Amino acid sequence: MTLIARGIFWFGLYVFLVTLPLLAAVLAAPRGGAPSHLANAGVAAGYLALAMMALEMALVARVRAAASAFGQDALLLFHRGMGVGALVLVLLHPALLVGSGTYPAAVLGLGAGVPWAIRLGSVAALCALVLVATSLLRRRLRIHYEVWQVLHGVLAVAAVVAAAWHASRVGRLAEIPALRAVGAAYAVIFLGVFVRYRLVHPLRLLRRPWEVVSNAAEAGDARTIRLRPVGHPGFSFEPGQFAWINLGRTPFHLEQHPMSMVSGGDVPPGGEIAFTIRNLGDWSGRLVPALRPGARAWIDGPYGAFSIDRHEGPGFVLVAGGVGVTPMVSFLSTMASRGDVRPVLLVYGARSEEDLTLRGTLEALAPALALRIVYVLEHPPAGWTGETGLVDAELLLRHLPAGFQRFQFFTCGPPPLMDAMERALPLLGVPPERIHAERFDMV
Amino acid sequence: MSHRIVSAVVVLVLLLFGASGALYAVGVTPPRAERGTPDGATAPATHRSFGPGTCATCHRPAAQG
Repeated sequence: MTLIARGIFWFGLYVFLVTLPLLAAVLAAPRGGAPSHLANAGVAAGYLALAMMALEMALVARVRAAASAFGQDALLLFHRGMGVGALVLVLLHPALLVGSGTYPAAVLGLGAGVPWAIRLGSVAALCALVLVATSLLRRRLRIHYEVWQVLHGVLAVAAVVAAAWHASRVGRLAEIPALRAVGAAYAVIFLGVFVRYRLVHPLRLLRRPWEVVSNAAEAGDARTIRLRPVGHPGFSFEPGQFAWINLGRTPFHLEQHPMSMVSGGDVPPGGEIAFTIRNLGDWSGRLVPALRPGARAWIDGPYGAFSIDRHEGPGFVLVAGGVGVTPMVSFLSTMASRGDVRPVLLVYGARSEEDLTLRGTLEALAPALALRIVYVLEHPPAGWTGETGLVDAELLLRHLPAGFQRFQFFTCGPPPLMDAMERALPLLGVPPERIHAERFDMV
Repeated sequence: MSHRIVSAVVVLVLLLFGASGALYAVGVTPPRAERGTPDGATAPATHRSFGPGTCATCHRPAAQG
């Protein structure tokens, strides 16, 4: 199946599964719903919200077939958008049912007079509200990423289970066999995804341990760790792809971090892979620097569609900010080993000269490639003759080669840089299908 | 895939779901003449009353049944 056909299939399946309860309700329910349009819209909001919440985990469960069609980061973005949308519907559900006069406002409370089935709906809404708020405002609320990960998982399961219980007990549609069958199918999908994601997948990884070979300090408060597979062939990958790193005692450990491989693709069986990780918190600042050779790690990968192998072109323009240079180094390393001499322009922005992570590696690769590097420093040292400030359209225009509109553009870095590039590149005449971005700092 | 494309898809999907919810509401709501009749054909034989006077089965005030 082609990539577009796969994308249409997975997207269609998602839309079908979310709207299936409404379809079943229309086809199977006896004629005549709740007595007003508003009340029925409230019922619809509830069913749509439940279906969306139940499918949220499937979007991030690392189903390789789905991820390869869109890219895992696109799925994460979609997951976030659908999560916010589901919350809006969750809140609309009681608002419309109470606002239409179908239910008294007293059902919104958790008081003694309200039946448990209704209270569970309120519990689900509360869980969903906290879930979305802690995800969108994690940094502002100063919640550690590691704590957030656990909280997110627990609240998600609680919200879906409470909402499903609520839906199966309340309302005139709850006792219709066809809707009960749809509910049971959802429960099977939800449980299946949960078991696969939290049990089967970690069990598979348990048989594929990795071992730290070296751990070296890099400029910009970063570390490069090299790993080798122990007792299995490891994996090869397309340059620019990423993997989830788990440093727990077993792969069941909940804390995992997505990181781009910095080493070249085309890894032979048993070959090493490497990651460059910047100190951005507890895990990367405390656990990663403490890794000694021989330490055990669990690597789940490769994932991602951010790769020069998927977007062939006569040349490449790479725009990186900070540690976002890691997938670019993987591109260049792979091109060097393949003898690929297509022209590459790398525009690499950093706060200061000391923050130019992997500068030495890039300059060592340059002689084997048709590579031009433009460093852009926000705070240049005295005597710096290169570019300064932030990467923008004007700066790019000064360096883009002739015919750049036919090149493939890759951007990876902090959100302001990515946003600036998504605005600037189309204005420079680069078609959207030649602009590729990767974001993982969504929470 | 670019952030903008994914955001546009998210908005489109949410609009699609919103439209399907609205279509559902329009499609299943009985005509005005049939709404809220105390012994209308659409009301169930018995109400499962709970809370302050609302039926859990048909979303109508229990007193109507």
